[in-house]
Amino acid sequence: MADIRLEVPAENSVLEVLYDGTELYQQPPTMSENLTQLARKIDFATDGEEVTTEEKKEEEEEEEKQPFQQPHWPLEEVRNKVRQALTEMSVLHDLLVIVKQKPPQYMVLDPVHAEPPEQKNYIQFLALKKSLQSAATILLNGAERLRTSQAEMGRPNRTVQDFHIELLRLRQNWRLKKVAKTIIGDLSYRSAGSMFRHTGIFEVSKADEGAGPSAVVGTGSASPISPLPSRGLQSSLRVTVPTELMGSAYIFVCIKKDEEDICSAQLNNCDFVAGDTPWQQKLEKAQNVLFCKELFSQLAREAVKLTPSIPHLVVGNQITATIFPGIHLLVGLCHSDGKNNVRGKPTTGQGPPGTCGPTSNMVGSGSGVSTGTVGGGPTPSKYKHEHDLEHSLHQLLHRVYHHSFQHPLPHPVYAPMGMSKRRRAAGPEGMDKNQWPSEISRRVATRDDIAAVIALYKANHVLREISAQTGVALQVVQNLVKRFCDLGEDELPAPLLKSGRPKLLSPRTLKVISRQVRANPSLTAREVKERNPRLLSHVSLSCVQQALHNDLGFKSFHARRKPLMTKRQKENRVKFCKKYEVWDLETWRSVLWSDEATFSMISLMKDQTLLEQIIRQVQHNFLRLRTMYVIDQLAAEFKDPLIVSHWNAFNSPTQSCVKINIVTQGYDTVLRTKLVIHIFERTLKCICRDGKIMTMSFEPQELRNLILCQISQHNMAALQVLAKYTGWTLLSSEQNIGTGAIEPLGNASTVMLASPSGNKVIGVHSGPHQRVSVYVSSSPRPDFYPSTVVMEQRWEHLGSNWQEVRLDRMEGRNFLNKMELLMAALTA
Amino acid sequence: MHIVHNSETPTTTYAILDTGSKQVTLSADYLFDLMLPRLDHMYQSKKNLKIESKGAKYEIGDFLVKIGSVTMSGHYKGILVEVEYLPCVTPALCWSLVREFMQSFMGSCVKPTLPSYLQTRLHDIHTPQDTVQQYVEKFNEFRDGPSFTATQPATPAT
Repeated sequence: MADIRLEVPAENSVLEVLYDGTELYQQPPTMSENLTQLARKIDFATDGEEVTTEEKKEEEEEEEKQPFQQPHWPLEEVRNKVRQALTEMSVLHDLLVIVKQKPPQYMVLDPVHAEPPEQKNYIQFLALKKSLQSAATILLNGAERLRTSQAEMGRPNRTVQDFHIELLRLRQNWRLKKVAKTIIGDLSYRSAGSMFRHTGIFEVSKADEGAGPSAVVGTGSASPISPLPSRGLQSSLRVTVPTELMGSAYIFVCIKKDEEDICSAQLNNCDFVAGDTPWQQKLEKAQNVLFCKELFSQLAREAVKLTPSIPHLVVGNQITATIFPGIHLLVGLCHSDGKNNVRGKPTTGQGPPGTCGPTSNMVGSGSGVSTGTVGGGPTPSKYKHEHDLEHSLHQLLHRVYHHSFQHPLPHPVYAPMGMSKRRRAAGPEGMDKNQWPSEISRRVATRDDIAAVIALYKANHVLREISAQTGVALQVVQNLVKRFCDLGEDELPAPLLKSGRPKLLSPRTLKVISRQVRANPSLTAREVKERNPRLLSHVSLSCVQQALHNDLGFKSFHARRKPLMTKRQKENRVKFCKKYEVWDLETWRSVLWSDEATFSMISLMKDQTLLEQIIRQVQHNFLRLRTMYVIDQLAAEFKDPLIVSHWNAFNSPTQSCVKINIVTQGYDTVLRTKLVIHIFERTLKCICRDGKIMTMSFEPQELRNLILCQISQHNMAALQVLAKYTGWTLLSSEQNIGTGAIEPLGNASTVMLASPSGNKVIGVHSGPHQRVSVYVSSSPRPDFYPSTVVMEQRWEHLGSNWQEVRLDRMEGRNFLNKMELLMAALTA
Repeated sequence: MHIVHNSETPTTTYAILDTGSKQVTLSADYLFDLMLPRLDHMYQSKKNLKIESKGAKYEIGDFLVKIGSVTMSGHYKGILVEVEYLPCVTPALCWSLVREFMQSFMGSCVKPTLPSYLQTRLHDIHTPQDTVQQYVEKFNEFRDGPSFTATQPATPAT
């Protein structure tokens, strides 16, 4: 901080210098003396008119000639002057009184005719003419301007607009700033809450004159068809967008199964931007590219930071995340810069069939790959791009923007905008420095950082802003700017030299060695040295060893000596494996964690990252589609009880709900089995009418099994209700019968019904997998013959043998219909 | 009303209201200070009263010792020692440990009885507000009584 002091120099003039060198200063005038001087200056005689300099000088001389008298008190001069004025006023007053006396006695006022001024007609005439001329020129100018603008409006094919009008329109939509001689604008989302590094600066300039429309000449009767193609309005404004934002981009989202190859997508020139002027389209496209880039970089960063059980794969411009075993989510950034070069396509295993030429087998590309489709054919991609998921991703990023500036209510009015939630909570909770860190970690400025800093400096940003945007410390920014200015603002300052002893092996040498070792991993350091005599002769063996170990990361290992396994140990291992082989999903779910489990503590800053949220949504989406498919398949397969499903109209991105009714056609009033299935991200929860809640995993087979079981139980329950209508008595009903063949899933159930008169008994056995089988027995037995053991006749009333009813030969629409007919037939 | 700032919690301002029967503590964001001139009609600031305890912080194992010299409006008043046992949050569980530690380097000036502040709050979880309230109590003692060295234990956890 500079210390600034004000000192009044000693301006007092020197009156006298004594013999010993001391100076006597004229004392500055005291207050009263000052006042006196000022009062003397007041001259009541003048009335404010400008006095010419000669007159002033005369007055001053007159004053000087008068003897200089020190006034006794400051306002004496003023008093004298006022007294003089009073005297004069009184004289005037007396004069007027005398004059005004009614019979004029002493004085009479006679008017004096002033001399008429000379009539300088000619001069007057000239003056008038001049003034009229100036007025006329102004009016004529105005009229001329109006005429030209009117002519412009009237012209039908006005193709070139005025630069300034266009600039005005541009300013209505985008933020512009004039820096030195150029106009630059900002197309980033920074003001909306984005924290992306890219500055998004574009430059506005005048379009060339030569780029104007060709003259429309000769469209008269000679050529009936107009030779000009219908071009849009040509603008006189040209917008230069940074090269990395040129073209158009979108985020490609798709779900793919494991066994198929990684898909490839092509980007066509889809002009989905609706702007009427070319610069608007260009800017909107560039903004879209910036948004997609930010979204992708955020996802990639999270994908690397998170550590789920199956790690996410980030390769080039593509992120692969596993949502279910065997199902992957692919998020890629597709960017084509308008020259039909698709940069950053997802990798290609095999090219898509058809239109495009051979695509190379690169992993995530930085260079362009020409696709061979010029100017927008339809995309023959193998996998469906999920538009709603892309939309969800966009929405999630918008939500991030929103949260960076807006606080959820309630929030205090006096708090400044831009405080993060954590910072806001830090005050009342009394967080100390560990919980609320605020330091930026130190890092060395690289060449890219230097270039960015200088570019921003050239664009006249404040140093503090530059530091905030690039992440370089403020002192470093200041240092760089100083060095840049010293170099004459011509070239970028080079990064400072590193201290310490320079390395003996150059990066090129290291690359050579690493290639050799990678090709043949069993090379020893000595062999490497021998192979490259020219490169490595000046260094020692240990230098080579150190280079291989530390710089290149090649470490050597050998297998550890272990004791052999005994027979008993081998048996134990096999027993262990066999024990856990038969565990089913339910039993595994009861395990919370086992030895060496990894827990990841993601910071409390955000509740869920972007990637996690989108993965959850995708999981739910996929599970919902799968559930739909299973239910629809079952509905198509089974017509006997009908399966009716109603999906909820209101869903959340991570939860849906479906109501399933199982009803037999024609017997809706008899029984309706109802289920509700809630679909979450990885599980399904089924709630039955009787209150049973079953939680299932994402495997489709489980849902299928459940519905099959419900179907069989529905049949049995409906039969029991039907029996009440027909008057048959229920002898026994068993939902989980232990006899009969084992069901692969669920349990079989049986029902026994007796006829009203009691002579017929129907037994029905049904299972989820087995078909329904119906048996009838009648009493008395028709074939009873007393034998030596069973002698009496009355034993004929025990039921006869069970006879199976062939349901497939019976008439009847469905099982219940057939049973009704059977019961009706047997009731006689 | 006392306004306290603690450099350990840089973003917080504490306001302690001492009505005869009870003590109410408010912990608010640092910007609360900007609101104080508005409360002028209720609370006039006593210009001469500014007590601060400034000093170094030492770390020994699990203990944190802060030794501060207390100055009131520029005049030296005494020394304040704050001892913090990091792992424990409840005074009841570690009071004896803390007292023994203090006795090891401060000797006899550590009283074997509990300080008055902790007597009622022995089983509550110690918060940064408790620390600040203890400071205020000690500052009040400095202000009223003659200057003497007082010790002050505190048991918050990080």
